[in-house]
Amino acid sequence: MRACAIAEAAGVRALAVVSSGFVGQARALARSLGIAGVWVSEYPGVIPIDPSDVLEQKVRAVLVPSLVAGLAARRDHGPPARPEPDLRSVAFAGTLDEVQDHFVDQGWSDGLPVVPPTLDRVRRFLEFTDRDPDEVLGVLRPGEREASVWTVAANGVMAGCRPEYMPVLVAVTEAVADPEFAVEDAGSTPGWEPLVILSGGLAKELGFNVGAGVMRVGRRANSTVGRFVRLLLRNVADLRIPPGDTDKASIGYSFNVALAEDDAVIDELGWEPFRVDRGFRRDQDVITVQSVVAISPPIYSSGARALDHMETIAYLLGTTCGPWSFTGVWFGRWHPLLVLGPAVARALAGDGWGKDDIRRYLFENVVLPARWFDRYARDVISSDVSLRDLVEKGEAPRRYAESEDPERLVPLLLREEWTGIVVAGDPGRNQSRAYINNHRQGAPVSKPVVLPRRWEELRGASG
Amino acid sequence: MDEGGVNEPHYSVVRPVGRWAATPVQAPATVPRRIGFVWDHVFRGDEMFAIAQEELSARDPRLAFVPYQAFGDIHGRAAAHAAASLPARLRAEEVDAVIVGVGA
Repeated sequence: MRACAIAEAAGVRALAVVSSGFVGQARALARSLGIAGVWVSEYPGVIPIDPSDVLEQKVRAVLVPSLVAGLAARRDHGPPARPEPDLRSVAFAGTLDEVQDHFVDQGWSDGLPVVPPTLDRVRRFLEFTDRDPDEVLGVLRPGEREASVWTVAANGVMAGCRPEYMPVLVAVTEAVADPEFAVEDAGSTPGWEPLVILSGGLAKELGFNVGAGVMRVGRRANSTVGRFVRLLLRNVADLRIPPGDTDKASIGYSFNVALAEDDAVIDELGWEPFRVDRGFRRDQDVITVQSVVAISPPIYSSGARALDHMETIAYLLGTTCGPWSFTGVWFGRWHPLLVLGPAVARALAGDGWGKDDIRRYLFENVVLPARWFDRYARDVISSDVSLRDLVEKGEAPRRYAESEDPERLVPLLLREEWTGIVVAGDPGRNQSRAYINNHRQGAPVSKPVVLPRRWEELRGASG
Repeated sequence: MDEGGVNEPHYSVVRPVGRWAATPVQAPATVPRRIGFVWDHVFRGDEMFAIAQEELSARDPRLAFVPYQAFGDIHGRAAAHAAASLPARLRAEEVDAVIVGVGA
């Protein structure tokens, strides 16, 4: 639909072709993009399932007549856009239960009870930032809505955050709004989920969990900041599962709690913290947001030798990436994140390994037979995108097509430096976990957390 | 403690949605004579476009078509470039309508 909007803006009538399950999404996106009158023609069915003769019959019998009608149709601007209300105006007044019901009816709720965003509560959040409440941090697609500081505060209230999380929420929103993150693809069928990673001393100050159960709901800071992101995607990016139309996660999964790095273990090991890996200073607090489309099984590794651990980690990280890695090669982006348990990190460091060694080993040893790449492209997008095609177009390194042997092993990781490593989790157990991002959709974006000038005073007052 | 009824607090709440920032646009309603195909290189758009072109030509032999190769891949790794260059390519190819696909 974005291409339709570009064409319409250029004065060229556009017609969209979508399959049945995506007609609602197409019309919703058209409204958001300001092209509500664009004709949407439906291919009836699920395209990857239909054999060629069925596809041909459907195109001739259903799709083409619709295109003919669309080409001849008088243009309809669609329903007029309703005027946007003042963000500070009271949208609704009622009891707690009535507020919940209203928010569900409006599509503003994620299905869990929300903290009512009263003016008073929003203003308390705004005390924890020096940014102007009307400042627009970005426009989130596909909804084409402004993520203002005010709106961030309102959604932070709803998520159950504390007001002092506001600087973190602002940084998270800046990251999500960055074009590099590609939030417009957050409603794609793979159903990826953003993951917030906090690296810096602020994690301890705000009470983030970095130890056992670090990725589980249960601690207010981790849980509510993670929930905030999903509310932001719903209420500003306009991404909603049914009864909405715009979030097309086929199955999806729940929001990720925010992950915080164990700075104490990092310091003990003499490793660089994640924020330094991401290009920031050690004395900064940094938020990174990236997509997660797959999570590994628990990775237990044992022994005092680094190689004993890395062989297991590489295998399980690689099998989690699996054939989906073809999308990384296709789009040229792949950013797996390894959450390394402290005990495992200590074992690796004890054997003289650092993060660069870990990344290098993974780059060289996480491989898959080439046939899986070629085959999965057909399963996912019904197109014959082969590794050889990508190499010949200059879109993949030559090592991906060194022979025609379908069993040749090809690397899953595109660049050594693109594997993120965060130390966190139960220090009493030998477990790590891999979080796989969705290629260029949700590529990691990092932003510094900026505290208000009155931070110490405000923290003292808030207790 | 009274769990409901007249003592239950009421909340006056603001909306959490951001302000809509897009500007409505619409191309003029000309009768198309030269149709371009714009493809995201997935979901067999090449097959569909070939059949559609054949059918549309049969219905109106005066129609001219511009193949999808003229407009780049609007979904792949060069999608941003394809999107940025699309207006110029549309002008260069002198199309007055595009069929864009495939969403699935």
